[in-house]
Amino acid sequence: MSKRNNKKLLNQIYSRPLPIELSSDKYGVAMPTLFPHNPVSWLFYLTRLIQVNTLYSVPQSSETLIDVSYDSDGIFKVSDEESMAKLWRCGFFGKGTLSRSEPTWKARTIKRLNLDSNTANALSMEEVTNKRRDERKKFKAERSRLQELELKQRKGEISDLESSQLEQLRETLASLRLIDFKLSKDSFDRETDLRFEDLDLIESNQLGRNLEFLQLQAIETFFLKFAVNVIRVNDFSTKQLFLECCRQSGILKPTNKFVLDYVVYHHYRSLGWCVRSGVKFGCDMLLYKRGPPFIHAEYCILVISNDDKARYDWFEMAAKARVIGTVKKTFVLVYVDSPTEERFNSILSSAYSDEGILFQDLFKLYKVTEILYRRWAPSKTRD
Amino acid sequence: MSLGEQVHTNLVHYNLWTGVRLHDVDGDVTFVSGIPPSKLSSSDSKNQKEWVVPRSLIQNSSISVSEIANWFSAIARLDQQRPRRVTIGIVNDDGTIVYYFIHDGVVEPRQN
Repeated sequence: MSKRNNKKLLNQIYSRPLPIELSSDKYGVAMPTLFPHNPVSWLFYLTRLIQVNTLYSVPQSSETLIDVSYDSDGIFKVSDEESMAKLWRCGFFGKGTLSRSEPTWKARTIKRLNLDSNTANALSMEEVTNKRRDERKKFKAERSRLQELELKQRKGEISDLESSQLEQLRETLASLRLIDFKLSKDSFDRETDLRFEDLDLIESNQLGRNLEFLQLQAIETFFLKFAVNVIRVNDFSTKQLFLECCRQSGILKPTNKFVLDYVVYHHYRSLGWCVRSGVKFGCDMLLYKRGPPFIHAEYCILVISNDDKARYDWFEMAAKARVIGTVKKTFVLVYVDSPTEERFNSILSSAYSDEGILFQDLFKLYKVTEILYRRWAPSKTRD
Repeated sequence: MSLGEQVHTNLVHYNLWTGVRLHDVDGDVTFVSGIPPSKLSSSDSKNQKEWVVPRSLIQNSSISVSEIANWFSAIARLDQQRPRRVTIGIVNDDGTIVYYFIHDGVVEPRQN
C-alpha cells in the first residue's frame, strides 16, 4: 500500500477525535459564514441556527452510553467488542489487555492458530515488532560467530577452512547491515505450534471466547464520564466515580495523584492532544499529535505537585531525562498548583444540583505550568 | 482479577509462555513461574524456567533491597535452588505490564 493511500485510510478510520457525534457530521449541515459588517448574513445565520436546533435532534442525545464495569480489582473494563472498537477509534481511549494498544488479540490468535483460512493478511503492530526482533536475533547470531572467529584469528589458532568462513561472514554481515528491514506478507510463515494452553481456547475449530477486554485508566474513565459523558460505570454518579478514583491512589486531598493527573490529562485533551500512559518511558503521560497510528509521541509529561513530600530528586530527573532523550522525545515538566485543603473540601462537600458544575468549580482551582527540560551537551550542539 | 492473575494471563496469552503457574507464599507475595517461548537473554545458555514477581505501579511504587532479597530466598525454598535472576512485572493502571530483570549479584553487560 502506498503511503498516501495508507494515510487516507487512517484518516477514514480515525476521523473522529472524540467518541461523540456532531450534528454537522450526521446531517451534513454546516453553518453559513458570518460577516460582522453585513447584517444580512447575521439574519441568515440566525434563521439557520434556529432551523438546526429545532428541526434536527442532537445526535448525541440518542446515543446509548457505553458500559464500563468496575469490580473490587480496581480495573475499569469494557468487554463489548463494538464499544472497544469505538473507544479506540474515536480518540484512542483505553488499551487492549493482551495487545500493545489497540485490542487485536482475537484477530491475532485466530491467525496464529490457523482457525480461519481467509483472515485478511493485514499485519498487526505486534507481528511487525516480532518480525523485526527475529531479524535482529539472526543478525546477532551471525555477528557473535564472526567475533568468535576473529578472536581465533588474533590468537593465531585459525584453520584455513575457518578463515574462509570468516571472510564469508564478513560479507554477509556487511550486506545484512545494508538491507533495510522490509515487510512482505509471505515472509511470515505462520507455523502453528499448538500449546497445551491453546486447547482451552478452541471450541469446534473456532476461537471460543475473547479473553481480551479494553482497560481504561482512571483518568480516561473520569474524562469520558465527566467531560464527554459517553459512558456509564456501574451505577456510579460522577462524584462517586471521582471518590473511587481518588481512593485508588491514596487519601482524598488536593494533591491526590489521581486529581493532579486528571487536571493535566484534561488540560491536554482539551487542547486537542491525544494523551496516553507514559509508563514505558518512566513518565506519567505521552502526548501524540493525532494518535499512535499516525506519528510517534513527541512529548513525555511528568506531573509535579506543589506538595513538598512528593518532589523528585535530581537523580530521578537525570535518569528520566536520559531515557526520554534517547528515544528522541521532549521532556515536559508539568507543575500543578493545587488549592488549599479547606477550599478543596468546601467545594466537594457543598450541595450542587449538577455535579458537572461542582467539578468545573473544583478543577478551576488548579493551575498548570509547563517547563521543557533538556539535557545539553555543549560539545555536541555546536554549529 | 488479582495482580497475579493479570500477569499470568499476560504471560500465557500475550507473551505465549507455557506451563505458567501461580505460587502464593504465606498469602503475602505471589510468584509466577513459567517457560518463555525462547530464551530471554542472549547470555543464557538455554531456555529455562523463569520467575516473575507481579507488582502494582499505583498502589505501592517503592521496593526495598531487603524485600528483593526475600524474593530470592522464598523462590529458593519453592524451587530447591536459588534463581540467578527474577523478573519484576510492573502492572500499570492501563493494563500495561512492563518487565525488568533483577539479578542476584553482578552480571556482565550484554552486547547490544
